[in-house]
Amino acid sequence: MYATAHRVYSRRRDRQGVNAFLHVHEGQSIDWDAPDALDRVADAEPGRCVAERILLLPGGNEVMSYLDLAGPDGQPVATVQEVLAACRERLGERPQRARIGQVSGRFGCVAGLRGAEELEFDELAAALLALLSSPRRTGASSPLRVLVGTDAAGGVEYRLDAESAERARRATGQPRERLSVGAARDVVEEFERLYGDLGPELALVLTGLSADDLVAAGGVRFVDARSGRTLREWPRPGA
Amino acid sequence: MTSPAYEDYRRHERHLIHVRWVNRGAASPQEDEVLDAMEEAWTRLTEDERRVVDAEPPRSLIREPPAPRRALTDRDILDAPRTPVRALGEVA
Repeated sequence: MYATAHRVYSRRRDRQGVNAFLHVHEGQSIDWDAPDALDRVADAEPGRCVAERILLLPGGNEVMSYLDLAGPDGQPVATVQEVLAACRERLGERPQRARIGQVSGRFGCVAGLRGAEELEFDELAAALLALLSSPRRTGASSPLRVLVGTDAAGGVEYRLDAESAERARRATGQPRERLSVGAARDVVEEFERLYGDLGPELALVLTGLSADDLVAAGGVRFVDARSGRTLREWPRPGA
Repeated sequence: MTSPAYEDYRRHERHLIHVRWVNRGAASPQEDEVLDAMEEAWTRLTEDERRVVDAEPPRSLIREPPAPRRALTDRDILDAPRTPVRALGEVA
């Protein structure tokens, strides 16, 4: 198991938020007794992500703080709480980390908290504990569908199909304000050249869902409106 | 021996440091709430306690956020599974 919460900041959006992820190792051979087990798991072998809590779309954001926990899969919440408590007691130490049995934890943050580290630690710990008690992602839901076509001006039109619009309406409890988004082709190309995949941003606008809820709903599939060919999916299948 | 008001003031001060850090020095509604609470606690401090607070450097007043070009950044693990969630990289 590798559970991590971190506060990230997006300069592009000028927003920050705490994202958390729970990974499992499902029998993968990890030496949990090794002193550097946590570092190895976090840096090289995170395992398969089975649950997440996303407040800011991940990817390229600055990490302001992090709280990591690693140990064999299926740790009871009480053990996790013990390790978190041990970590909290060592907040002033460098490097900051704690270990109980085969479960270890560590916390870090960028400069500037000056004695208020425990407040940040508590927020990250709360996010981790909430994640550990949340349902695991099964991937059973089919993705929402966005049809990609051409608008009257020759630009690209992204449109939620009728069934997906209804699913989004049920999930948000509100009718969708925008069922389609249009953009000039050169604008799309320039945006993606500068900032990467536009898909996640479009999906959030069209569905009105948070990134977290969108993932839980099965993600989104962009489909060529004429041929029905899948152009891309977010998250990628198997993620 | 410190008074409950002094403890309150220090607690709000730590909260202010955290709120400003989270918001990278920018003003925020949370900051206004904390400042109001600090002001209220200040009115309950004794003269000696106020002198102690006044004599210290202004820990909570630094507003400039760090702006490194290269820093620890997160990865889009939803799009690229089984990769580490963080790495050193250019800040987007």
